[in-house]
Amino acid sequence: MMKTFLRMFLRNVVVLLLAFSFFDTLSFAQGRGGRGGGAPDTRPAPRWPDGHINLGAVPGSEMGSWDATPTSIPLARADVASDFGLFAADMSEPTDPFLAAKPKLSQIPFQPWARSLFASRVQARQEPYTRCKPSSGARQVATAYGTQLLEVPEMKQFFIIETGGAHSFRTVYMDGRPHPAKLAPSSRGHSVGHWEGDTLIVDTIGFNEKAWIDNLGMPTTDRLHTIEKFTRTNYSTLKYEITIEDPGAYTAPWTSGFYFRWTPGESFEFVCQENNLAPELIMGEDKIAVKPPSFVP
Amino acid sequence: MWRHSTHTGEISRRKLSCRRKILAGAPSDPNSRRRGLRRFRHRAIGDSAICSSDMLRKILLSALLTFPLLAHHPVAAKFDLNKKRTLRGVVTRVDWSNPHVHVLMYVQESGQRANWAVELESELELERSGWNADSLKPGEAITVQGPVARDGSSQLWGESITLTSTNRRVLQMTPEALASFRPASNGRPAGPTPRWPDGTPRLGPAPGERGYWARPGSVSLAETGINVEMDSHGLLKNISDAAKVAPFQPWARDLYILRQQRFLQDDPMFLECYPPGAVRQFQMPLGIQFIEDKPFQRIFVMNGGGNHDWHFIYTDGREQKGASRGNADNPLFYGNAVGKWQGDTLIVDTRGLNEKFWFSNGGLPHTNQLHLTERFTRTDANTLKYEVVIEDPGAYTRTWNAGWTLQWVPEDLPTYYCQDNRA
Repeated sequence: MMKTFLRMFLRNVVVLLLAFSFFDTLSFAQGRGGRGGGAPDTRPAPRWPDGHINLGAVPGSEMGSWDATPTSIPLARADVASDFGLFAADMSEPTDPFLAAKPKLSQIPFQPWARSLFASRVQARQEPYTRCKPSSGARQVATAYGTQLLEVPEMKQFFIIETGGAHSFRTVYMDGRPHPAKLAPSSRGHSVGHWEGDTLIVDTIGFNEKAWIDNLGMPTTDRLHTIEKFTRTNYSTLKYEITIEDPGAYTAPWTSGFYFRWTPGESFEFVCQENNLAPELIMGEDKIAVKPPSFVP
Repeated sequence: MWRHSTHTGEISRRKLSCRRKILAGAPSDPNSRRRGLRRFRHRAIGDSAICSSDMLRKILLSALLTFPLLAHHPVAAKFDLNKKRTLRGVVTRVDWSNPHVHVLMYVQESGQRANWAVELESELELERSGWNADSLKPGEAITVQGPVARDGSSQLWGESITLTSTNRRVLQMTPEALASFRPASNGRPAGPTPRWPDGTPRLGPAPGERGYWARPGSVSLAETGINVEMDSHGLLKNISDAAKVAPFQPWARDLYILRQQRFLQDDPMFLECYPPGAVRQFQMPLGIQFIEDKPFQRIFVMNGGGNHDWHFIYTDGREQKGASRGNADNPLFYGNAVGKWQGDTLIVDTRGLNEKFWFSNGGLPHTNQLHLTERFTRTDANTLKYEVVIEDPGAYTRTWNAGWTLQWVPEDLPTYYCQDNRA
């Protein structure tokens, strides 16, 4: 029974991977903005005057953002679903250092219900991102058209700003505050950050259970705690790691990640809702019905 | 010029002649919205036979069926304020999410068990009233009062929820919480305008501070100098004031009236979670934050509410044309916004706006010819003066002005997502 289930499950994953060229048009296709190009810039990572790493654009140079869909170097391969996801498919050979850094699907310490839910999500392909929901965790950082990382030292805040997707932003508080004791669960949770050497550590709790932290739907609960590490290993490379601690869905913490490429260019207005053909999934099935605009922030 | 928008259920231009006939009967009695709506109903039904559009007829009829003549608070759009019920039952779930929190409960009624959804205000309003997601727990017995849904579904707007065991009221908006969204002093003496080392005023917080702009002095556009009463959603107290609000062209006035008479239920920001868009973002109760990115000569303008999105004002001297992605073929919700400082005032010139959003609470129409000149002046640490010149030959007969102030709220920008609803 279990074997049959596993076989079916793996088959589904394989089918999904094969079908990704289609899936891709739903979720990541937005990323094919034709940006990127040129050889990677291997100069050292830039620093602020006080010596700590600048994760964003360097004053005096061209503006830009971090792109998880580079076209010129194989940091992530746009034709393989798992390159942006949090695991490597079990059939891949670990010769590729990029994929070798990720757990294989069979190594992810799912609880049984979480494994089943993941299998069903892989089949249903109802990623909230494609319905313009604010994406969470790793998925927010890997948004189409690039992500701007903006540190504002004067405000002691760090912003992770998306161009595509929900075209929104996550605020990371850098003023040393703890997480609030009472926290209403939300799609992005509450993030606090600090620097450890040349790595920015972002600690987040307070997720709701609608949040998808990747594009395939690794299940999480409201006990999810993520630790994200942002390391600019050279001028044009950002190493992103995420540790997922969720005793509600996994039997042990696990870590994955991927790389981003610095991509010069200007961000722009993007409104996912504008031409999305599933408004009832954005706002709920009753959206056609009369809604009470009693409070419209 | 004015383009059909199926998203918002609005009516294409060729159908306007039909609607004009209908709205010719729009209320003229200055004191009675009720009578106006009644006339609207009569005229609409009377004229429907000569209207060519089934869609229009359906829209009007559904509006009439859905909105009897009631108080104008938009809760009325969904709930029948004249039809209140008391429910006694047990909480099954608290759905603590935006735009509105829901308490799900089951109710034992004449031997039958029914599931009900009790709708409440948004998370932030409830939090400011001292409640949170744990204030009510599944299994607790409660008594709920409020108006029921017009469509006959098992939904109720929760005016009050009482814990049966202690007779204590919970999840109730306090006057203080409501007031926190309205203009008021933030309690700090107004210090001088904080400035950058180069002397220009700061639109964001001074070093070591935090804060954002909210509590707009006006929640809807209305031409400077006119005096009309509106509620906090931009709904006119007297619909007969509509033509005074701005120098509308006739079609724009009629559309404004229609949107008002439909209690703003066609608002694309609410229906589709579209961005608030230009101008309206400065009317939002959850405010906006400016981050001035000096090295790159651009300003991030970030919304606390709405869909929590952001856009740039470019201060790098670029011309109107050329902002990425926005052009005549691809007009934007925020347009191409280019700014320059003139003394202590940031002047922002914006064109390239689309017609998919309402550029003000209350539903004032605009076209893609809209050209905005906005002036931002931080007159002291607590006050941002906002002035806008509106030029839209597609919707208005002349250029006109409006303005209000925003107040500094020395807190973190709220995080609210319209999309956090369901599904």
